[in-house]
Formats: sequence, C-alpha cells, structure tokens
Amino acid sequence: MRLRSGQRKLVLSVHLFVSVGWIGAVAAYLALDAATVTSSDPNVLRAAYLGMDLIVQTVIVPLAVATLVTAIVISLGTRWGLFRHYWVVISLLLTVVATAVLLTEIRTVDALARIAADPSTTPTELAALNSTLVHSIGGLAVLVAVLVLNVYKPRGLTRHGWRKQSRSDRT
Amino acid sequence: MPRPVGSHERREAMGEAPPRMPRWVKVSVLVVLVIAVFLVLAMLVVDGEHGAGLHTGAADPAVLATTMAI
Repeated sequence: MRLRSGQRKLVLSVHLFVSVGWIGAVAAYLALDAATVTSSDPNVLRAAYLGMDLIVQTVIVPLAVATLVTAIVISLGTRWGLFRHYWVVISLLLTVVATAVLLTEIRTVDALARIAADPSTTPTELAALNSTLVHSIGGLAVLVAVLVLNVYKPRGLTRHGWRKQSRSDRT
Repeated sequence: MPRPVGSHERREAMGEAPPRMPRWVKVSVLVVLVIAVFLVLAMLVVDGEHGAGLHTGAADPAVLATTMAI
C-alpha cells in the first residue's frame, strides 16, 4: 500500500526524529560509558552506571523500536520497497542487528546499575565493574553507517527489485 | 582497447537479465567480514570471552562476588 503525500511526510518526520534521536542518545550513553573506563571516582562511577541504565531503558530502546517500525512503514509505503534496493536492505539489516544487540544488552546494563546502586558495593568493586564501551562504539558506528546510506542512497537494484521494475515497465 | 562485452552484460544492458550486485555492496560486505573476523580473533586472543571480557560475567552480582573473593 502506497502512502499518500501527507502520510509519507508525517511518517518520514517521525522516522527522522526517532532515528537521529537514537544516534544522539547513543552518543550521550557513550559519554557515560567512557566515564566508567576513565574515572576511578566512586561517585562518578555510580552516577554513570545509573545514568546509562536510565538512558537505555527510557530513551534508547523506545527510539530503536520506533526507528525500526517507521523504517519498515516508509519502505513498504513508498516506491523504495523493503527488498528492492541494496541500500534499503542493508540499512534494514543493520538496524535489525543494532536493535537485537541493544535488546540483549539491556540485562547487562541493568545488572551493572543494580550493583552500582547497592550501598554495600565498595569503591574497589565499582572500579572492577565491566564496561559496555565496545558495544557503544560499535553501535554508534553502525547507526552512522545507516545514516550515510540513507542520505547517499547508492544505486543498485536487487533481483527482486529488478523483477518488480520489469513487471511494472511491461504493464 | 575496450573490454569485450560478456553475454550477461549485454543482456543486462538490454534489460533482459537481472543486474549484478554493485561493487559498493561487495566492498562493504568484504569490509564487514574482515572486521568480524578481526573481532572474533581479538576476543579469542584476549581472554576467550565474548566482548573481550568488557561486558560479561562481572555484570552478574554472583560472579562479581566470586571475583572479589578471589
């Protein structure tokens, strides 16, 4: 089903808002994540782990899910389709992978925050807690790659897209 | 000297054959594969734990307690 012009603009606006917001939220998370690696101050560590958990639960996860949903709606509702162009397929794949990794990471971040929030956790234990920095940097790189793909829209029809186009050319 | 045009290229140009995978897709897939292999090797070399031991294990309070006890 094709979206009408007004509907397309509305979904596109929401998609831009949530997807760019996702990148911004990951950048904020990354700053806190970096603090857990670079700082040895117990107060900074406690605040960073709690802030990371809050950002993931209330901002990053909702924005990631919203990005995935709006991306699928736009793809299916416009001429781009979901599997017709390589750049759309790759963007979708990367978004699905990023969301899946994020969802598996929630438990880790939550556990880290619970340990950090526990008053009985000593400064030595806090400093020994692990970081999610590798995933944060990797996640941000993937999101930027998707952004670049969406802006440049490099050419390339998939076999499915070519078949669809040939059929519509004939009709 | 111009490169001889293959039968697939000819059919592709005529719109009779599906287009081949673009070069940018092949290069991107190759780069992702190289990074993935590098990361897997790095994990194996560092400590055999996923994520180079950066985000597993110690997130579990029980594991943390054990680590602290040791």
